[in-house]
Amino acid sequence: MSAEVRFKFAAKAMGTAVSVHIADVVPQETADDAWESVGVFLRDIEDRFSTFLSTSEISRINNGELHMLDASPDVVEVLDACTWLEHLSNGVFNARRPDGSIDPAGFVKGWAAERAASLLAEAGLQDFYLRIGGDIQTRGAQATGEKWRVGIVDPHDASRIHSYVDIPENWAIATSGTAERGQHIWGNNAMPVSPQFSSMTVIGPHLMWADAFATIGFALGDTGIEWVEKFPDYTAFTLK
Amino acid sequence: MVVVSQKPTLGRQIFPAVALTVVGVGFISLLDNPGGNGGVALEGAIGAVVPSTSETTSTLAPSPATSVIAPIEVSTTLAPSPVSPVEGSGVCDGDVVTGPTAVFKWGGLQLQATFTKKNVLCGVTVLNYPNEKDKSARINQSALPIYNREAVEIGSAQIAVVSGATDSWRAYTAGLQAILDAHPA
Repeated sequence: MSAEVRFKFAAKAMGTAVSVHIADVVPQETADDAWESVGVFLRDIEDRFSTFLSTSEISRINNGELHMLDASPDVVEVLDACTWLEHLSNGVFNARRPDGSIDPAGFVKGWAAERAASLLAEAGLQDFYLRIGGDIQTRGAQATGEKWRVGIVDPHDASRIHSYVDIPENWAIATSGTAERGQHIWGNNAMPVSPQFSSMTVIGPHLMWADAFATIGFALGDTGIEWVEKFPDYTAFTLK
Repeated sequence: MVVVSQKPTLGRQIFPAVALTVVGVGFISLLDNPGGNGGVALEGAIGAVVPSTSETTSTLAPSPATSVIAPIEVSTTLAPSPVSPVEGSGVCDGDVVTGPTAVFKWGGLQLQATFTKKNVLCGVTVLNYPNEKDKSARINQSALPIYNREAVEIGSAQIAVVSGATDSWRAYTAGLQAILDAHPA
């Protein structure tokens, strides 16, 4: 038996899976409509951000067809955040490829997941989680009133849960590890090759930051936890 | 909190100008968020952090390419003279320039650049990154227990959701979250 919820949804999105579990006592229709709004939103984000689609805003920026500042507010916000993270991490986080083109994919997933969770809240839901690709934004609590209990996958055996944590209401959790690395960071030779740990998990109020901080903290290696925990409310732990 | 600027428009233009000049970062101009609430502001001249033997306040000329209207004040600290100064050796023995604090929607950012005697940029440091916005929601982090076991049984632990690093669609379908999702609510 897993934890008690009332509605479960899952689908393919953004190259991975999106899952929503809802604990609220609401009509089926409310839950269905909220889930539908998440799907519409994520398809729109993919259309606008994917570097695999020549019609996306990111592709058009890279092709010189669209100026960054003429992009939609969402695109500007994402690139703005990527710039901020690049500075804070001294370039460990980098949304630009060596050829100068941009690819904010490493940030978009967490950002979009947090936004999608906000859509569920706007639809009237209070107790749920939304998970995209191993990163989770929660709201409220489980149907039992207990905090959402998040299992952390054993980095050496994906069929096992290594640890778990009951996270504060409305908080998010993200895990970064070796297999994920190439996806986020391009051409940074300064990055340690063999960190002392296999995965880093970051917990905090916002998934957009928890996800990015986990990526950066993992890449930083030994100084990663210290770096992440300079940010108020964000906690990091590693698994060997 | 966003620092209230008397000239928000100016503030939004100045930081990109300084950052482009000093750091040379490509899309720093994205600091200016047209859809935002004017969240970038200046904090004025800020004292340099490094120890100094003498201190002056100089005015950094704006970059003409970015149409900044007024000059921006930054604090320049002259570093102590090195024991054996070598012209153009790449030693950061010149000026230390502290930029204004740029306030993003989510927190601040302030850069400090160091130069050689020949005014060649030789180092950039991030001085601070406050994250004021989240302070209202702060809780005691030490109260967050992490249960660590050799291997946790999903059933006994009542795990609600699984976090992990490798999660492509294929990995998902073969993983624990897919089982949690497929199990009836």
